Amino acid sequence: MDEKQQLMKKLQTADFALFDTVLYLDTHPTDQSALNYYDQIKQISSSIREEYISKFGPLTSCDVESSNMFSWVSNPWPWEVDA
Amino acid sequence: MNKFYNMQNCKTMHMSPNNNAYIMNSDKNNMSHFPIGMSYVPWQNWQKIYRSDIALNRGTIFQELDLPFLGQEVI
Repeated sequence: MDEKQQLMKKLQTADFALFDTVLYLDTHPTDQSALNYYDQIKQISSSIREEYISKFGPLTSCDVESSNMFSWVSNPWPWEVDA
Repeated sequence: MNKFYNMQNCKTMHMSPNNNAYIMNSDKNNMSHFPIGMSYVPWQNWQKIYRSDIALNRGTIFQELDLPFLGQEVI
């Protein structure tokens, strides 16, 4: 697993925990321990996302950072994994 | 509205899947004031959270919701 795949896996792991927490908070909006965990995992997820984007390019069309080239259109697509 | 049963108090009831038989008759499991024919889901609390790499493999961050189908009744 190269660094790109490792980072993607770390991002998927953090986002999975984040979304499960969101589902819980939908029905327990004032649960303080869940809110604390939510803050923590949200921070982890966004820092991994930033690292991935700066190293390997945009994950969505809204993540393009370079100002002279809309790098979203260049290969490979983020979901294209080398077999 | 007075028929509304306060769902909160069903949190206090212990009907854990690990013991080998649910307590079926109503006076033992203090649900006697709940009408039959309805389904009730105990209120979930935030506890026993898996580390996120484990959670991804298990499909949930909540240990108590990690209930794999084992092809037979879990005894």
